[in-house]
Amino acid sequence: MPHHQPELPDQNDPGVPPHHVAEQKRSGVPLRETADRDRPRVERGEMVGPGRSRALRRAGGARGRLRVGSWLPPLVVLLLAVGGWYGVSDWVLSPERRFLLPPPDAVVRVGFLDRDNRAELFAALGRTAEVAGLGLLIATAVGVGLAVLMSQARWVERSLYPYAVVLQTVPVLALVPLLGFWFGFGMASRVLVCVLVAVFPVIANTLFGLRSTDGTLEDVFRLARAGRLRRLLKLRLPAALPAMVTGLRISAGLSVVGAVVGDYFYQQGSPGLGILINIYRARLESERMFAAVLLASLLGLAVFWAFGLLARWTARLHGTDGNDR
Amino acid sequence: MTERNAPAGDGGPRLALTGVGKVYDDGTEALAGVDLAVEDGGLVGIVGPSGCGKSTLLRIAAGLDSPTSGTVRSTAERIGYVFQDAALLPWRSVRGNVELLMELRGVPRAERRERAGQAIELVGLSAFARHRPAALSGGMRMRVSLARTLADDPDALLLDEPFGALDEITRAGLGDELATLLAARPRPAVLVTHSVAEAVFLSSTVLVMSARPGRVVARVEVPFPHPRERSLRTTPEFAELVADLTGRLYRGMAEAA
Repeated sequence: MPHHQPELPDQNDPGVPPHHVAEQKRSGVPLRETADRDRPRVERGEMVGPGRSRALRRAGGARGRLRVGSWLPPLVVLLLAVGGWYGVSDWVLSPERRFLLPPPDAVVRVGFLDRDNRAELFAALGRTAEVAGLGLLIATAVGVGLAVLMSQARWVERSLYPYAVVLQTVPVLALVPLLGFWFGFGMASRVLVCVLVAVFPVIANTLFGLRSTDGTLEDVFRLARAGRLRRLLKLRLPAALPAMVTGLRISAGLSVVGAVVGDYFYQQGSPGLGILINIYRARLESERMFAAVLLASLLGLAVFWAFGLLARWTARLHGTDGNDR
Repeated sequence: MTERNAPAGDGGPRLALTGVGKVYDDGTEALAGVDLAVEDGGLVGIVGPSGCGKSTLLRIAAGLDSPTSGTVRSTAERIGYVFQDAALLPWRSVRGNVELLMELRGVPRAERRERAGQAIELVGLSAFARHRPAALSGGMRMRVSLARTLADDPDALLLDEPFGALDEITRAGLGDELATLLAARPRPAVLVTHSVAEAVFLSSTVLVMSARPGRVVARVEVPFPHPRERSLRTTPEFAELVADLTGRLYRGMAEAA
């Protein structure tokens, strides 16, 4: 930002000075309407201008340091953990018991560097991701649909919500064999487990979002004689979007868990990570088992990270993060 | 009894409330026997202590609430209502917000664009048409709210402490702007406020209400001609009328207590 930007000679205009508007347009930073108006120009020009750019630089520097500060400590912890892992594998465990915790390089070598093993693992990863994704998709559609229905009439909410809560509290593992009887021990049941574990956070958060629209805005829509559908589409659903994404983020993680758990029980069809983990365990192939566990964890992590990005993106879209575009 | 969109052209007031009372379910009596008539082009200011049912009265006039006694007659097709908070959709730009009411009423896109543009210019926010509300100050947001209502071209305007949440200077500035806007396109309007000076500056008639249950304790015609200039605020006549009304307001509060 240049120190000597041209100032327009409208200092004594009591109205909103045009250069305020111009300045605002340039910087994109909203100005208080009255705060700066009465201060002498010299003070504004000499102190606020460069002062602000210094402040911005400082903020930028702080953010830079923050970035280092945010990845360095976890990296140190990771290195310590890997070191501890080696310590246990190489020194604590005797060679014949080393299968309990094979050293990291063995896991990588056997699990990921061997071409056949890698192909098997990644095919399973794809399968699990597919099941989790499909389950999440269905859970989202069903959850949002149910929440919209419940938001339309109290009696619908009173009739359905208790069962949504029940669904949440019933341990899904207890239902898993039953679902196998009903829907077979293949793909359908695996997806269904994901839907069951993932649907509640979508329902609860969407409903919360739909319910918490601003009362005055509801009045604005009523005065314009907007019908239910318009109110839903133009006010409530957009207002509920951030809450929905929060629910989705929780559900996505649960759906991955559901997919891995489903694998253990429904072993028909092409294997997912859960099946592989189970098979490797039975064969005492612990390097490959660790590799599969690692992949499952990374899948969960990737999902968490992706939905974090989605949440930030919707906040920007939503206009509630302070950005103006 | 509420009669909406009664046939116009009988020469009567656009908006008439007769003997309106409101008792809430819990037994609280908010309003008792309030008469209010708004002629075309006249602005009625309502002042009263907080909790006297001013806002309830306005909500009843708009049809957002129903009276427990009395009648509401309205020939207004579109009622413009400006709330105390700007009530903007945060995900829409200034332009999108100003277009909202027209959009809900099915005004074609091209016309919407044009009328929104004019209204935004009228409130002096053309440079911010693409900004989101979060990027604006409180006063600017209130102006967007005003533009949204004006772009809808309402037959009657109801203003519920529209500047109540703003600081004194912004408030006076917006009052001036509102006076200009109303002078340019007169329409029946009701302004609820807790500022006597604001009511006197903007209204042709001022009603003073008592504390709960709210009733009208004084009805004063404001003699100053329209359009009113900012300088009116500093004349002795203005100060005198404000003092007189403030006195009546205090007496109304004392009677109820």
